[in-house]
Amino acid sequence: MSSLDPSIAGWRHLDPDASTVREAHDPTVGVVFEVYGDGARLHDQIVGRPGAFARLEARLLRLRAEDSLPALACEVPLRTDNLGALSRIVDVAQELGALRCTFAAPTVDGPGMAPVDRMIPAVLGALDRCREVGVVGRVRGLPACLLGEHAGCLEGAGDASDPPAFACLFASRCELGDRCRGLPTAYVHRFGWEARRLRPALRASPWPLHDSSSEAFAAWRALLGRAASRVTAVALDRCAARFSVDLGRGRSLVLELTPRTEEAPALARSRSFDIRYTRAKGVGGPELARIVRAIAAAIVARDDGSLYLDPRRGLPPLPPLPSGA
Amino acid sequence: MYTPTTVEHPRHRLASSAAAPRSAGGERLFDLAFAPYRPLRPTAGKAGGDALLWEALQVAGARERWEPALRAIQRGVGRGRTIWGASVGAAQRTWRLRLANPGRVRLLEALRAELGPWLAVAPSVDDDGAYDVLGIELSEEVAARGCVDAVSHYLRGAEPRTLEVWQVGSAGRRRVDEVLIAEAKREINVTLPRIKASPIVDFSGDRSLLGRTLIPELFACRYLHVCRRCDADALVYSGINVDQLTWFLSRFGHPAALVDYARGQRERLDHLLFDVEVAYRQEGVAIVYPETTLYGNL
Repeated sequence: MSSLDPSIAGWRHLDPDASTVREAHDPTVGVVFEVYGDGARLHDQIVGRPGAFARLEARLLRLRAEDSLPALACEVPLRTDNLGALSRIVDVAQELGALRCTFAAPTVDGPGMAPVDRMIPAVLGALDRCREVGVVGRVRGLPACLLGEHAGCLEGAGDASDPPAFACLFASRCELGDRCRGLPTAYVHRFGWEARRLRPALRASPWPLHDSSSEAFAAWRALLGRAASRVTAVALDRCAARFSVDLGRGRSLVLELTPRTEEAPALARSRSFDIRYTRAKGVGGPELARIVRAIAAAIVARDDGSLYLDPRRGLPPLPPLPSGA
Repeated sequence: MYTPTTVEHPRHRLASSAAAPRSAGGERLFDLAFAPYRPLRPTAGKAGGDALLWEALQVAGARERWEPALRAIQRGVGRGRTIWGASVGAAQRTWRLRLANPGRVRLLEALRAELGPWLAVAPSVDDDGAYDVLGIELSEEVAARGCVDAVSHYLRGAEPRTLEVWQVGSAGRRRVDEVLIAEAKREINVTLPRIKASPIVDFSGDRSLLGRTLIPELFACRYLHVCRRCDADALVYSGINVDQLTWFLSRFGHPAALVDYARGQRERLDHLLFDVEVAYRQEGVAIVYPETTLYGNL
């Protein structure tokens, strides 16, 4: 969770029903509280405990009196029964002192799970309200492509769970795919993939597998140093970068970079890559060894870690645009 | 000097298993399309691709019956070229074998000779070797008869990255499956229309049906095989990891002992990729799964 204030190192969730013993005051830890409704009636009804909202208010007052509130943030679980109240919940959160309001879609199935065509308009209205009242708006667990101008409010790009807790049909075809996890898998099971509702910003080409133009993959070619001029084609995907190298006089080889490991067989290892060659033609023995070791040494010298491959997370970085583009 | 054995861009092809990378233990690893892959972790101390097969047989009480024949294939005609499958369906439990035949040799004859002590294999079928993959199915019924009546011929289709599956037996030859193989995420624009153009499931009405056929937990795989059969559609999620496998086994009602084994042996299986198949059809407003299958290297 990102902090609003650089001095806030972390956040803790507030349990309004927990013991009222004076809490240790840590000025670097912010407090997150949950609000389900725009007032006591709806909040208490959803959490199923009469007086819950009053206890939350009282707890926050007490913490404030004890000077134990370095920063406050509000989290609003999205449910079918509070969607109509989201904008008013922003006002409640502000009155309670929250600097940030996060709208969190459910990640497990339950009676409160609503379809995106109901959630999104309500969330967009609430984000507009956040902007009006000066509260930072955030969203969790919804697709970025449906948030329009508020796409930047989406938080939590990574999904470290296995099997994945989020999924999107367009994950690797959408420009937003590297910072959007898509829909919760529980949502997909209940309401489907929403293929017709999602608005992916489709890449012109999902990933340029093969490109023999001299401009392509300039940053990747540059890794090879002087040998870059002998590269006839680059094939790049998330698992490997492969350079077809023409050594002249009918001699060629394919140089292969894969993500750096400590164990896999490799000719050499640079900061980000294991380096191998394959498909050597017309060359062998000591001459081949001399050539590939020279190229590998160039890569090791030039690999500063800015280019990388990752078969599981995201796409490798595209080469920078030419100046003036 | 290290001599790489990788084949550049092997996807979508029925690769010769001889070209597959070898793990440290010498085991060749390949997926259901016989495309080779590198193990995800160092293989020292890890289980082989057949470990789950033996456990599945053990759990089903069929290990004693089938292990000698399967071991013979593993050591003989099927060495380095065989995929095993363990199916759980409403009717019965089935054990499948697929043997790659990149050289188009008379593989069926060799298989008959190998299995001769236990089974007759499609005695009425002439073997001309004109298939890319040979498939057979073993079950209690087959064991009772002592004979596999029909075999499957997998042939490259007319379109790129497609396979046709023909069942060949005493009743003749009929096409039983059409398969399209594509990268799961990057080529969703290819697979999605194919999935939705189903004669089995009407996707036009209920938007939730797609979420129950294209399973989100398994979508994070390497390749999708979109299969069109006579009485059901099926999706193969090729290249899932052991955590996804455990989820699959648990979700689709595979024996609890097998789920526990996969969970308990996670550290010994986490270098492998697995292929799983989920067959489905529509019954009223519901999607039902008549059969699910786990595949691995023999």
